[in-house]
Amino acid sequence: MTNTDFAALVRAVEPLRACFIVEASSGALHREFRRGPMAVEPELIARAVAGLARAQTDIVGLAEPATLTTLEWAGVTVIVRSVSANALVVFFFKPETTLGIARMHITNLVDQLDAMLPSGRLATTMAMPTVAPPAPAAPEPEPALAPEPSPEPEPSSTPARASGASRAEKLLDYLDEHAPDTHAALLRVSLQTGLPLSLLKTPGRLSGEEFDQVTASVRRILGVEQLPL
Amino acid sequence: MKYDLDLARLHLAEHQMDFLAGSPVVGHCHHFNLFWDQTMDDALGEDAGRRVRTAAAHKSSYKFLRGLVDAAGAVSPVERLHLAGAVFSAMGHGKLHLAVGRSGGLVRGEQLHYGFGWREKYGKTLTRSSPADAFATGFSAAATEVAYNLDPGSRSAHEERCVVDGSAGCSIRVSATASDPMIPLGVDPESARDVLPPSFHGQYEDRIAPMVSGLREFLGSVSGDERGVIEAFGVLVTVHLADYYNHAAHDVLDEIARDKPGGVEAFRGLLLEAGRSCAFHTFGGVLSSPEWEAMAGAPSGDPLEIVTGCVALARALGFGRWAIEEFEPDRRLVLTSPSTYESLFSRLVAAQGCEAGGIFVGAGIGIMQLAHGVTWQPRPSIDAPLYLQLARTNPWHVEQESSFAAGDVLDRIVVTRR
Repeated sequence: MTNTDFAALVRAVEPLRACFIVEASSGALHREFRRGPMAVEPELIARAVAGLARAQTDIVGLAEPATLTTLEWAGVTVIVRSVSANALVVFFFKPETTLGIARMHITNLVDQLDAMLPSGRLATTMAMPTVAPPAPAAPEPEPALAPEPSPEPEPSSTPARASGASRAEKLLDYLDEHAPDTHAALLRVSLQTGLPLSLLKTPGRLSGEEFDQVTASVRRILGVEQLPL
Repeated sequence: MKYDLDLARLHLAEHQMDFLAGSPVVGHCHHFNLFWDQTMDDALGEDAGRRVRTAAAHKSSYKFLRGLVDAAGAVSPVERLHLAGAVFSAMGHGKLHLAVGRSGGLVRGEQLHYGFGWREKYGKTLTRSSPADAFATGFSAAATEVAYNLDPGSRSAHEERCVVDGSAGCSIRVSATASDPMIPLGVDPESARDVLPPSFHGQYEDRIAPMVSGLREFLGSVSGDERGVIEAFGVLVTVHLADYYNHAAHDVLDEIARDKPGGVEAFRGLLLEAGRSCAFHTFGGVLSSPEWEAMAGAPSGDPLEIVTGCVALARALGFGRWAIEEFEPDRRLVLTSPSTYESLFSRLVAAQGCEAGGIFVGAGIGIMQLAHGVTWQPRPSIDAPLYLQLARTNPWHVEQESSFAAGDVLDRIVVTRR
């Protein structure tokens, strides 16, 4: 499930102000959808929610999937729901939404999300800095909530390569978010550039020249001179 | 002057195809039309895409207008230009003021379908500087040639202003510069009759046939309003020259197969998506409309009701005599047709041994999505969020098992759950 798949699903639920998928074990943000700016960074919310969920599970135990908690937070109704052994979904509803309506929407969404989420560990594609390099000295949350050591990212890529892959993913995520008929956007990039779909689905493999081609194509599809990335 | 399209209409009932003045016509909405043109531009780039689309419009319009003036007995250039403008409006393409002489001139356009439709659909979210009305542009060049008995391709045209960039109106310059060499080939009723195989019955004909009759009666009464616009079923409808789509798609396929073979898969994927768009917006728009409710009753949500309604619509819009060979709700749909307006052109004119289109396969997917992915009670909103949602959660897969374009005896598609 791409971030666009996720956004398309939840965007249709009008009372939802925002929605995140969080990896329960690490507190890492897996997917996010926001209708507008939020006062608190999503990554912080994700870690806090994961910590809350762990604490609650420790105290009362949990038969999954289940609603973990419901609270009012900064003027919105927040409901945290477990959808699999390692995934939490955080729903932010507009304050006027009644709990019954919110629960109805959640019930409808959770089945679809559950089917679309991979089993096991979630990729944390959304939790990336926009400008600053990932310096080790960057402030980390308190140790109790720090992400667990992860075996998944292989250190074989050079930093430049990793940065390029990240840029390409962000570029295509941006296209997914903003293109008209977004479900057909990748096909359009493929047709415009002549690059095969299989390559575009693994944007980390794009060469520098191919990345430039894709960038030009994204600009053309969105009808803009510059991309805010 | 208001033109009555029935004056020049020929209906091949056995194959559910319509001809106006000897050229095949189909009904398509602005969602399909814009997506189709966009795909041509994606394939070749905006300038080359517009060139190919304008040439396709020029070729198909020349053949059409030549047949039209002959059938109407229009002799003088003034009569012919009036007739061309009137039929353009009746077909829902907007208004053209053809102030052209033998050597060309300026054509003013109002509510031209593509520019007007683009502004309706994308105007609030996208910016665009390249003009959108290639069809009106090619049509204007052809109208000038036919009015003055000039050779096809002896005039060229380009759109100087278009409403997509915020201009108040559209204007098209016709000049005496020759366009690319042009042979205005296309499908005609005689050659179609020669090559089309006998049609056949499918399942549920007793349901489908009365709906086709009702729809044809209703659609036959639909014509452009005083603006030359047909607004119906929540979309902007056109009666369009099928040869326009087919010339453009085959010419583009030729070019990308030669110059950019890596893009062919995506091109076919996007043509399929255009077909799905047609099913969703046009079929879905009609089925959810008050007009349909008056004719056939509001859809209850029974998948069979939706599938038979869509097949009836395909026939009434001139796509061909689509038939249901097999339908298992929630599992499988098999559609057959002696041919479609796309495969007929491919077989008769393009002779590439393959089809350059996606109406049958794309609509096959779209029909199953409408039948199983839409809640029909209460009346649904056939809108962009639902379109996207159906695409994102699509469980259907389609295979074309027989292709009339490739030499098979019929067109046959099978839609199954993944």
